[in-house]
Amino acid sequence: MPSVGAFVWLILAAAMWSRGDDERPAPADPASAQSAEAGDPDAEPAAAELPFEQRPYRVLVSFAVENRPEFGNAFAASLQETVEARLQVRFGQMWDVSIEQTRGWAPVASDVLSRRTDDELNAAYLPTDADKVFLTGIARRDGAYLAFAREWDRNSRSAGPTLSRTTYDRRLVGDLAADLIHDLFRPIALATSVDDAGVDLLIRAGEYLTPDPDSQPFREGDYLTTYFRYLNRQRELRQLQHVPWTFLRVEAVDRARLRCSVVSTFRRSPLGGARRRVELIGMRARPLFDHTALHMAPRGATNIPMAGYRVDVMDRMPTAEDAVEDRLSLTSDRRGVVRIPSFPDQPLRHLLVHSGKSVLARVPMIPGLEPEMTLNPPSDRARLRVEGALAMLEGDLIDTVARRAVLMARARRSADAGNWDEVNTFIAQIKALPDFNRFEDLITAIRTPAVETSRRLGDRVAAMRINRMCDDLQQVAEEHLDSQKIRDFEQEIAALRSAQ
Amino acid sequence: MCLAVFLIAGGQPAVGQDENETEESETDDAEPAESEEASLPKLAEMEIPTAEELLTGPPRDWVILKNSEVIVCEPIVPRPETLELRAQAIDQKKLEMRGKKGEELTRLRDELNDLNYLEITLPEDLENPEYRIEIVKIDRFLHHEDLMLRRIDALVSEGRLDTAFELLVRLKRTWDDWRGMAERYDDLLFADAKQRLEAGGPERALVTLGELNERNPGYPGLADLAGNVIDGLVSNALAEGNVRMARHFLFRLDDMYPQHAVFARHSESLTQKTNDLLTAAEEAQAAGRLPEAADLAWEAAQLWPRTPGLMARYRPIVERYQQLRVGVVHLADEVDSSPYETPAEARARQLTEIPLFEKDRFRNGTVYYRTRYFDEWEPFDLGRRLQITLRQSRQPWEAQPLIDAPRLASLLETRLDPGSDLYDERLAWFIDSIRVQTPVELTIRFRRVPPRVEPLLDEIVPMEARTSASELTDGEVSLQDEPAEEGERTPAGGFAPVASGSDPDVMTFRRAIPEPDGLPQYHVGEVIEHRYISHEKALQALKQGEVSMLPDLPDWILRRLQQDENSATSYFIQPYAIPTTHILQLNPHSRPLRVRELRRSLAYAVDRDSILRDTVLRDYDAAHGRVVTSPFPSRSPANSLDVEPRSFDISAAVALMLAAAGQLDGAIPVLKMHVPPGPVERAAAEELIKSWKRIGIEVEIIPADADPQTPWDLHYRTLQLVEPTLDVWPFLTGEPTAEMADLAVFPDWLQQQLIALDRTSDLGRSLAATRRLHEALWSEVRFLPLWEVDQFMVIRKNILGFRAEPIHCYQDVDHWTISAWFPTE
Repeated sequence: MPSVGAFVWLILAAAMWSRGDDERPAPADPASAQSAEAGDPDAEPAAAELPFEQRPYRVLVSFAVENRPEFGNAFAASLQETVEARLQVRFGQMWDVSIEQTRGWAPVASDVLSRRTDDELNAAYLPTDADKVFLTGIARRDGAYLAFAREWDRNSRSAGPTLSRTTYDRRLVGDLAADLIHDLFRPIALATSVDDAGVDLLIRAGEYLTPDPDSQPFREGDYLTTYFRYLNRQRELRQLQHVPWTFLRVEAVDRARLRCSVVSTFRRSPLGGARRRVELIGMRARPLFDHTALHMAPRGATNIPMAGYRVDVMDRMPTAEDAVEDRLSLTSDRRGVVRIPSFPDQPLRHLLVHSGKSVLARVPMIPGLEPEMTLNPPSDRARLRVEGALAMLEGDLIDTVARRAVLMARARRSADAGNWDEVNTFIAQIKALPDFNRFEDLITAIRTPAVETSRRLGDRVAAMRINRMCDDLQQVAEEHLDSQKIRDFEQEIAALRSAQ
Repeated sequence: MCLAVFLIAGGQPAVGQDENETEESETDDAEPAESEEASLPKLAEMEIPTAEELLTGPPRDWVILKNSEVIVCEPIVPRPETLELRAQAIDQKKLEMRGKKGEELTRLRDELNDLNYLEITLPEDLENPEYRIEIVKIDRFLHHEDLMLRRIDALVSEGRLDTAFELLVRLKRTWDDWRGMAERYDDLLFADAKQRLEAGGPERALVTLGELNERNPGYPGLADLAGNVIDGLVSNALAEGNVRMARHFLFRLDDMYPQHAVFARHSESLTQKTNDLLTAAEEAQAAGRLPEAADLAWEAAQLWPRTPGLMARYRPIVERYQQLRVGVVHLADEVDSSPYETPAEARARQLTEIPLFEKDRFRNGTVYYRTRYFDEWEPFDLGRRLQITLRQSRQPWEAQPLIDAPRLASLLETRLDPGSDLYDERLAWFIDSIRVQTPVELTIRFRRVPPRVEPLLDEIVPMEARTSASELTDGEVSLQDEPAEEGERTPAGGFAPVASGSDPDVMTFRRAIPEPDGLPQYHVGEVIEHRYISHEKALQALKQGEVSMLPDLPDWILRRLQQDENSATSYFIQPYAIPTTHILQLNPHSRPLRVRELRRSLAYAVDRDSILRDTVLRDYDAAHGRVVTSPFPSRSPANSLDVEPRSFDISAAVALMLAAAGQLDGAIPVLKMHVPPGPVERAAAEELIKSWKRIGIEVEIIPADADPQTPWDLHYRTLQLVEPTLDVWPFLTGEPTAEMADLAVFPDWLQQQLIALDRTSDLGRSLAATRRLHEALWSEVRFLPLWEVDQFMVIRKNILGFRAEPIHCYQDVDHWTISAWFPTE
């Protein structure tokens, strides 16, 4: 039987997927989770049956060069030659590179490339045998040479972001394109075992050391995003499931093997145990952009952006001993967007989304990995509404307590002076003030509909918070408006009266 | 004084007459009985008693005998005209004696005899002071009053006028009209006037001469003296350039003595000067120097309004270039440490800036807008697109320029650019894109549909590059003091401030786009604000014709004006459409004011109703003011009806103050408050400070010349927030625009309420949200509302074209017309 924690993970994961809703597969049955068998090849297409760690990437670099006189055949040949050479130097046997060039894309523009969807690219390149396709464009813009590229990956059936760079030196265009391809490359690794301490993975083509040490696919401290590949009996891909807000951190690299720890928003690792016909893949995640625009909207009301929410960005989670004073505090703008800068040296950051004293979300992310991301924390509107109503009520409570104290003091003074008419007047005024029962009723009037609404929306956390806030105020009201105090006061006055 | 006494025996007079003698028998020949002669002083030897004797001593009459001897006695009755009255009595007695016989006749005869004697009392004879003197021996009397008048004459000739006046006053206490008293008073006035003149007080001399003129215009020498005095005064006034004063004195003289030679001489001289000025004005006008022409014409009219043919020459000049003179107590160029716009700065802005949308009228708590730049602005696609068609022409009298679509787009895009100083985060959030279709058509696409478009764009002012000195052609003058810096921009159109002249109490604003020649009707071309030291002085200037408009008067002065019948014939008194709200803004960054108990304490400690009636309005009935609960006008639909004015409760204030002190390290620090420079605001602020001091909270006013970066806790503000849904956010944060970063000081629930309000596209829902917000802000005491005051502007009746209920004092000023007028007195 699945554990409660697993069900929780399922519900949260289902709600917090950030992309590919149309393609979102049904959650895998955790009961059938088995560790992926190391070395099982991907059945599509027909490929050398080499072990995973010895299987080089079949890389296709597809150039689109702007149709300009300066981009003649000689340029094209030089470009191809340069790129091929640079990639060979960098990746060596890890890559099996082929290059094609096309002309006449109209227009050759990075935004056109960016708009191509995963489906379009899958349809275009799945029939090929390429594991990686680098769609690269060369153009002139404002006197500079522009190179842009985007990586498509067969294993994850996805394309990465589009990156572009410029140079004013024509001779460097080839190097520029090669650098782009190098930076966009997302190597993958296959999990061989998962336990509480972490995950072991095999690096695709990891047995081949790259001639350029900087081009090694993984280093200590690198992070990987993860996804599940569910296969049928024929080892064909049935569905993909990305694991949100979860990263693997490379703790050790031993040639083709990785040892990683798990960083996740979920309390229990969502990577589960061993499952048959399920592959867990890690894909390297290095920030390419200087920031990520994080769009925040509450769950269930994604058309209402979370504007004005405080987001703390930290390199570690706060603890009792370490409050992480050196955190970056940002506020989401009117569109609910907060721009989080990237940190190339330590890419992983922990985000805390605050609403008042409550934390709505705690997620790890790598700023700069993607230009835009979406986060859907639970809605805090009900609790905020209650907080506002309670703040007003608290003001009235303060007024009442202050007035009562003053009236009592004045009554005592009048009693000492023997002015019993005044005493009676003050006592009448004290009794006319709202008492605890009245405040209790008002608190209940605020609490009940808010809690019911939260529960109906399935937000038990919000319901709990609302109850706590109401309880706190009720306790304060009870403490200060205790009717016993009135009775004691009346007895005191009566005693004074009889003594005089 | 040694008095000789002429005694007459005290018995019955020896009439020596037969009882049977008829009543016609003369009694005048009754012989005195025994008489004892003593030496009596002669009149010539007598000295008039001193003033002290007359004032402090017993009154004495002088009986002057026919031999010029004088008897000093106690005051005689009847008085005056004693002899005349006695003669009448004798005649009456004789008549009475007719037909009488016997004892009655004898009795009457005796009485007649008695009447021939005058009883006097000699003060020195203590034993037997009563005496009788034959009437026939008496020449006349110098009564005590006559002696006083003689002493007055002597004092006047000696120049001791104070004592003389004292005697006269004493005399007047007893007698309303003693013979010679009126003449002595005239003499005294004349002598007093001369003395004042000699002492160097011609104006004071004139006061006395004026009084004498009213009593006795024909007094010898009065006309000449008055003429000399006024001649001197007029000459001095003209030398100082104070033509109004000179005019005043000349008119006084003319009132006193029409066609006086002094008046005629000055009149002629001033007429000549006036004509010279008018000639210069006409030349300037012909040369196109219209402001100069108008100034000269005004100066001419001020100099001598009785110049023949003045109006005929004056009118075409001043109606071609019309100058509106406004009396104020503060100008926009005054040093002020406040972070907010002062009322004077607001006036200057209303003159210089013509925004895309202007507030046009205010009805039922809602403000309606108009635009001078757009022909049409049509929403499409449920408000997601706004199609704007710009005007391609303008009236020659309109102050705004024409703008084209590219320029408008540039204007908007500047505010959408985060890198620009004019970046408006709120506007950038609403507007998704701007597209120029034609030179006069533009489309704005909204990311979110605003509840109303006009208030979103109403602060956008078309700008233009400021003309640098090097760009001026010959004859042009720079309108600014300092030379333009590169890239500097100023509002386009409107009334631009003119380089200040020599008078620091004057600020001039001139049409940036002058009206061309050849129009059938012209309008205000220049607004000149004159600063006075007080509202009373400004009112005086209005009555004297120096200014034609007063934009803001304290209520007590206004009510006085409203009740004055003369004012009703000379001025329009127009209410503003929107009352002015007085409110204490709390600095959201103030550490002490973060404590809610302290805010509440400040609120409870103030008796707003009393301060409103006693200090702000000085009107027990508070006809033009009321206590409020929000920064919005009381008629605004954004006010929640569930919010009632907070009561004045010292006990609660003290209790909350103590609670607040406990949260502030045991003591509440001295709070700093900005207050605008107006006398009403200052007086009200002083009362507030006293109220807080009573409960132990010290508040100090920040001086006007303090560093603008001086931290402040409270700010007394006067404002008109007519778009609550848009204005509440910047008002609470204290910033000019609504930016997310400024909300960080507020609790999250309040932040989200403000953001939700800003996001609401439906006007009805946004007003409902504002009402809920009002309740929350009231409970949290995020501001301290005081009162709102209905204000009025006073404008002379030769000015037309203004609104019956203007939004501000210069609304549509480019449309106003001023008929030629000058003060004749």
